[in-house]
Amino acid sequence: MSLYELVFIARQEISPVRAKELAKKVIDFITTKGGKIKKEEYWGFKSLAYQIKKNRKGHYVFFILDASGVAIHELGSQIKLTQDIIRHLFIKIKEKDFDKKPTKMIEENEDGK
Amino acid sequence: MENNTIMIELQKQDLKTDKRPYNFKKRSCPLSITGAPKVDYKNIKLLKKFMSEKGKILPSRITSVSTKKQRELSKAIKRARFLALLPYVNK
Repeated sequence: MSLYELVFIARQEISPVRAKELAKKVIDFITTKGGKIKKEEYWGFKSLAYQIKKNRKGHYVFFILDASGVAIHELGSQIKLTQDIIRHLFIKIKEKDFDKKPTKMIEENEDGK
Repeated sequence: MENNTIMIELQKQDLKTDKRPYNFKKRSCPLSITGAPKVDYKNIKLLKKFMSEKGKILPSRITSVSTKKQRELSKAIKRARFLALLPYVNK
């Protein structure tokens, strides 16, 4: 078991509710595989720096997961099949880098941006 | 007058010991100081400081970032670019 960060971007046409459903799917998948969710954040409907599959905006969802490598690998292939997700990124992080505070992106959103 | 002679002698000492007559202050790395922010792909504001207007990563000889931190920076910027948080090119 090790810690992973996951960020995924969902299509612009879907509603924030649907984006949260996608997030819930990820959580369910990880918990059934025996992993834990350390953190979950919805960064909001942000504009992309460049177009991805003709999307100019996207819903950003962020997780910190504690799961086995096999589970993460399976989750990755599941995400690839989901058409509402246009991009995702896994990053393995060290235990000491884990921070309970919300990330920078959330703070910026609260400033009213 | 006395001050002048002292100064001249000090300068001579410097010449003898191969020291430079002027003090060149070395700029230290802005990311290695205690209390410096963590280099992370989520901290877009910080990453933008080390990029040119066109979206290129600035060389460390301009920003005086240490080699280790420059490596971290370039990785963080590339991650942020992949997630469309930063542009590859700013036209």
